[in-house]
Amino acid sequence: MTTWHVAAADLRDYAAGTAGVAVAASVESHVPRCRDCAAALSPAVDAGRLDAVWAEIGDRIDLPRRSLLERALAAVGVRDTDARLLAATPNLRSGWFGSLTLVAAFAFLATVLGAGRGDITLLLLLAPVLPVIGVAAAFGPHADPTYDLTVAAPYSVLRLLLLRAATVLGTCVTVTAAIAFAMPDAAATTAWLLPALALTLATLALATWLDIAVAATAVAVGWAVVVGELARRDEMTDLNGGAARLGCVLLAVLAAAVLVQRRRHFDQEGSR
Amino acid sequence: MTVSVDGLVKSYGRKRALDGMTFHAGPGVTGLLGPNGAGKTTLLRILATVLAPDAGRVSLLGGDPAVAADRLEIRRRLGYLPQEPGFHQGFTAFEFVDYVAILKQFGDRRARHDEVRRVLDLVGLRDVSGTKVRRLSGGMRRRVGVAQALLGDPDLVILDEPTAGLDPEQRLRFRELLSSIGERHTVLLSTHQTEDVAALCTNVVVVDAGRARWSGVPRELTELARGRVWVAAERDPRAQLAYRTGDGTFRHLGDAPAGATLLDPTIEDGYLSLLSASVAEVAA
Repeated sequence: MTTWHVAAADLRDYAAGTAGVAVAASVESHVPRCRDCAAALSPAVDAGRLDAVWAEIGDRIDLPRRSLLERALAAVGVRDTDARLLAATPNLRSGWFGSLTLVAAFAFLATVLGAGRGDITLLLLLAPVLPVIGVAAAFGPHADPTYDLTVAAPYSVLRLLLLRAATVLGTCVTVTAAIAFAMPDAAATTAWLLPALALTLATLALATWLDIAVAATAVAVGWAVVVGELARRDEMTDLNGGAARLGCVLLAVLAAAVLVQRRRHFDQEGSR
Repeated sequence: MTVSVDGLVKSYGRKRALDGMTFHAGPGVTGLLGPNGAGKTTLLRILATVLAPDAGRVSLLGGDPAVAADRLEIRRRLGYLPQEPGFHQGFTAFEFVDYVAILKQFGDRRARHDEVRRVLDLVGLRDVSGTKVRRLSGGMRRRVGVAQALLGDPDLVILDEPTAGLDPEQRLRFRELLSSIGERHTVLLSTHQTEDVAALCTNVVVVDAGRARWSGVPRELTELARGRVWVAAERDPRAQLAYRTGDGTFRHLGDAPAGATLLDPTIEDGYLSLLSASVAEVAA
């Protein structure tokens, strides 16, 4: 039985949640062993605060463990609600990363070891199209099993789409950049970045008229035609030139403007 | 009226799924009864604000879903179970319902989690809330789908084939749940289970070929077959429908011959009488 007791002021501070770390530790160590201090502390604790703390403990204990993807997103600062929305992105839950890495690695090997050694055509053909495919597979009636539920909810469909598109674009850029930096041709490391952004935005803009899969196909075919023509003329390095960059910036700005202007068309199927 | 539909038209290419659909529904449970391909799912997707109609007018909870601001307000007060609700298979039941709760803009995490637990409790799935959706049985998945539709105690609940895949006990419990919701709110459900309509619905709309063929209370639907159901020892070839019952006699539906032993009709008889009349009308 102890003869020492916590000062009344310290008990009040502890009950109010304003005690310092040292005082709180001392109270928590002492009170379970001292009936007098426990009796003095209990009435001082605000019942509402106690209930809230207890409910929070119950909530935390009852929650299922978050998936690896959600924990990874939370670790890089993504809000828990956004992390859950992103964890439902269809292609982030499937073999997306593996497929992406395989395609990028193929482009790398074909460039470094292929017959046209050093030719970056294949990389420039594929790298900007990968995020386009990824974005098309991230949302829409054919890609998302909860599409109807998503559209029927008050959450902004455009925001969800952009959130997923940004994540897919981010994964594509990370993987492709890692491959591209290993390329012998310095142009390869950057030439695909602006087209990737412009083509992704163009896909989203076109998706306000067309099904997103059709929009992505149209954009990918269009890009293939451009790259094919440049390769035929042996002018692939032009993609890293000022005119090409300006063209990509203009396309991206135009697509973004269309997207903003026609954003309501994502809100309801058949309203295109 | 909570739901008012007037002259709704929706086509997919050359196929007209809805062809001038008109009906109204207020508080209580309204059942949309009709054969496969009648247009029920298209209608419910339009009422859930997922799909825009080609023509016609819709009013939901006093708002016009064609107007963006109204649509947002309607979505805040709406619960919807699609015919084939897809699930993110990697989610647990809790995570899936929580995902929908985020889409329904439950901001505060604790309040959201409490609401998720409440609806999982309502459908009897609290014990499996931590189980991955892919490991749940078909009936349990259906109940997860129903749970998300009940988030936030919505004023209008739209359920497309909610009892599909449920076993008899689950179906009875589900009826109990829906009837209690229907006491306070408007529930609209599609089904081709006539027994669900008879047991649960305060009103019924018979949908066929993209139109509302008939609407009224279930008892009136049953009465449509009054005097048209009879029993005989042998099959009567003049009947529209005849089948052998468990006691060896033949139950018939159609224009009863004079002196036939008439039976009390069921709601199924009324429904079939109505549909066969529709078919005859189209043929004529």
